[in-house]
Amino acid sequence: MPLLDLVKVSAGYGHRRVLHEVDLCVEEGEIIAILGANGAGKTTTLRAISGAIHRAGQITFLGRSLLGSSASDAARLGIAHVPEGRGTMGQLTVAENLQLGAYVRRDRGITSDLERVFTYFPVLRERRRQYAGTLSGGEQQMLAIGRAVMARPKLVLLDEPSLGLAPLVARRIFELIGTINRDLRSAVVLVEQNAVAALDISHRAYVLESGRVAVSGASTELKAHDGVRRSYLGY
Amino acid sequence: MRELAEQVIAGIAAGGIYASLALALVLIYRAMGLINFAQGEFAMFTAFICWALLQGAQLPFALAVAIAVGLGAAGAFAIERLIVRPFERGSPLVIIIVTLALFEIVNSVAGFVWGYSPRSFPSPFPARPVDIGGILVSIQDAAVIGVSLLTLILLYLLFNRTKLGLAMRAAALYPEVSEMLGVRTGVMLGLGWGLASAVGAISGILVAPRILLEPNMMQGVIIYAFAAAVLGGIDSPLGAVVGGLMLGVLLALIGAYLPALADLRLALSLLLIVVLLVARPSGLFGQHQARRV
Repeated sequence: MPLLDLVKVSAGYGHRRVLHEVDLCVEEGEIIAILGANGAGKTTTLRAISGAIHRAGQITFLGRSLLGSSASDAARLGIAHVPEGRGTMGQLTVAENLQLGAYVRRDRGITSDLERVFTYFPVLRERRRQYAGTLSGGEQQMLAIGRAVMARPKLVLLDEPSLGLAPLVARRIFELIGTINRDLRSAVVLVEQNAVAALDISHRAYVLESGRVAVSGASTELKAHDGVRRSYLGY
Repeated sequence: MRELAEQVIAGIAAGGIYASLALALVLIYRAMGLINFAQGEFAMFTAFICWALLQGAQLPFALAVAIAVGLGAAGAFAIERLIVRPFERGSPLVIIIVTLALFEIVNSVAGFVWGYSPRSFPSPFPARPVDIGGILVSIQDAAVIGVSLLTLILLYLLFNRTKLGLAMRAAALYPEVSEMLGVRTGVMLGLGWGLASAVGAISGILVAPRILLEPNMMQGVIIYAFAAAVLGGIDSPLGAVVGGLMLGVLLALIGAYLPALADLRLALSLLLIVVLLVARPSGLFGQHQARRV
């Protein structure tokens, strides 16, 4: 049984439907990439999974339906959503942002996970008393991912983690997504514009076109797929 | 000089009462970006419950206050969840009108249950003055100042040292992200109303011994509380307290040295609100956010 299973999921904003009967599954510990042009429905897919928007179809996570659950229910079940624009809470400090990442947890591992985040992202330790709004874009992305780690999630939804970052910083972020996937055994659904990097770190990928799954398969195969190569990899 | 000092201290004490209610207004403003016009009536109602527990059930003062404040908080939580919640997604103006309706309803229910004739409300603190370095301070005034400061400190600790307080701040500032982190923002909003009601209730219980208990007793106080909140900065708890104390002192000095203007204290407070909203809407301590562009 997959960790997360979407069957014929449709979703949208108001009367505008963006996703049309999308099928998608994520196995435990897997990294899935979702590729596609602007407006293809990548962000909407993530929002449909976490319950941030209204959706129809079937979504099961750990064998139970998510359809009636709110975004906070999803967080309690172990889904950490790092939204578009990172969702940094700028008027709270770095430490407070991280603390809120562990909001749903009651166990004793929170302190050691904070240490883990500071090991991944030493700059966050230095800046832990600063307001999150004063961080650079790359640091805010690190904070957003660190906050997701604090939840010890079974599934992380990452929306455009490399957007607006310098190439070196972006590369470092991708490395850490791989590290977190290995260390925490969290599955990851990664939405990315940078298709090359996304296919490099993911196990499988889905390509969305106009709210439908156009192609899906193992990332290594998609890299060789002519249509994908021309449209998204640019060679 | 001694008389001036005594007037200032009496003003600070009166200001402490405005400050408690102003704090309640600020808490709701920070959580929802609007003013709860029924806040004073909630405080009045809680003071009545406290009075009923004292007179009817003959409970000791501290216990009666604790139960009344607890009931007031629970009532406000329920009102937010049941009555305000359906309007949360609408325009703030609609919610403001809901709070005006709540004002009328709570006021009428209190009048219906307890009547409109003023009743004396016992103070737990003696009015007898003590001599502090040649200045006479009534124990009641000193206690009011102490209670206001204690409230502020407890709120500071709640918001800055506890997980619940942090979640309440996050839910108010970033509702969508907070939901994604598992925070039940709706419950936090209800708790915010409960907390504001508890803080406001303190002003009702402190003011009742001074001005007699009756359903309309908070209607002057709430104007002073608005003025205090606007003076301090409507989103700043510290500002609410400083604004309340400054306003109390200002009004006490006007009462003592400009008796011709004493009857205009409410009007002057309203004028102060208008002038501040035009000249300095963020007040003394309003947020100037650090933001990276």
